[in-house]
Amino acid sequence: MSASEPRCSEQVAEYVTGRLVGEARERFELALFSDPDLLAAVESESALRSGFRELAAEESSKLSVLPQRSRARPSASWLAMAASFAFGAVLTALSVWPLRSRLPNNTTYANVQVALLEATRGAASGPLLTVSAAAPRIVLQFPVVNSSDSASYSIALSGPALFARQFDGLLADGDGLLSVEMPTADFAAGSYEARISTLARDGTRSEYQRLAFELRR
Amino acid sequence: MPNGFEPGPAAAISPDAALAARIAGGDRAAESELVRRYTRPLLAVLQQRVRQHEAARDLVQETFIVVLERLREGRIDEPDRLAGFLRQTAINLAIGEGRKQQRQRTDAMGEQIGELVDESAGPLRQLERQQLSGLVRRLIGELSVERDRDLLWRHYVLDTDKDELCREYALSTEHFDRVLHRARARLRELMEKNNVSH
Repeated sequence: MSASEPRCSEQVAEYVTGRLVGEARERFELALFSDPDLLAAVESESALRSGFRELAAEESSKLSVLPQRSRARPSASWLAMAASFAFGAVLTALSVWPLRSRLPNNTTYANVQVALLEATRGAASGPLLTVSAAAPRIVLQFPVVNSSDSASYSIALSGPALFARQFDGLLADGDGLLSVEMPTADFAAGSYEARISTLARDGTRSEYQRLAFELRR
Repeated sequence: MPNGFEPGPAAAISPDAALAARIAGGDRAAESELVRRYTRPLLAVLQQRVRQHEAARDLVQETFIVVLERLREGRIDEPDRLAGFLRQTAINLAIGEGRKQQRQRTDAMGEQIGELVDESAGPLRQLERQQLSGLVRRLIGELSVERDRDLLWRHYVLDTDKDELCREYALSTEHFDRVLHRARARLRELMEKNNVSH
């Protein structure tokens, strides 16, 4: 595997953005140890992405576009990313997704929608999530209770029209939240289920929680 | 041979196995070589798993401490797969660190810690980030084709899908990849020239 040619660009980008998972990621990472060109491509891609977003965040902070924090605020990295989205929209003369706070657990930062999904004790049905097609990206957050046996988490999302997404190797952030990010265009209205499982250090996988939710556009 | 066996043809020894053998034999230069050879790939792997650059750097150090200890004691089962061992050790440490941080967090402290972490990049890291954004600004300024500027911005900042960009700008995916490849190469060049790390 060599990244001296642009043909590897896609895989490098997939790796840097966390879209390369499982065995493919393992193979790719092992190749980093023996392919200096590939390693350089990953470093450059990562630097380019960080640099662009840092630049956008700098400009965004000049515009003071960030809203007040809500209880379920996204982590700092998401805020920076959201800020960068806002400035990017300005730079490219695209319309900026209006900043507005909705429910505390469903907030739009620039044009990234951040939604906290948690089961409500005693509720007859799962949470209702309203997704706006005008926010191009959505971050779904799931609270988890720390388990000393858990090495990582996986989330299997299923929904209408055979919708299925699998996220592996997730770690809870400092707020005890698992976050997954997707284009909002991927979601159709309907009933969804998130199955969260834990992977113990001994390799044992067990179901942690199932959460059903309704999605409305 | 005293036991009646004749030695077979010398098996080809991998560079990793040779390095492991030298470290097990007490060769300090080999230890330095291990660190030099594998710091960058380890950092790349760890940066995918931990958000903070400083934390990734610390974990690289911890990985070497663990692995060197094992190598010095000759307790590596497959020395020719040293890269795999380094990678797995780094991942295990990252997972352990994540769990440790979560245990230390209390609800009362969570917000404060979050804010501290937000500000914890430190002046050096902040300077590096500013330098990096400055180089990207320069890179953008150097692009003579406006389409390439828009394309890079929309790809890296707005996360616009590659296929969508190719359709919109009537580009082949190969052309798109070439634009990215050139940008990466130029940024690498600028970073090396200005001694900026990421």
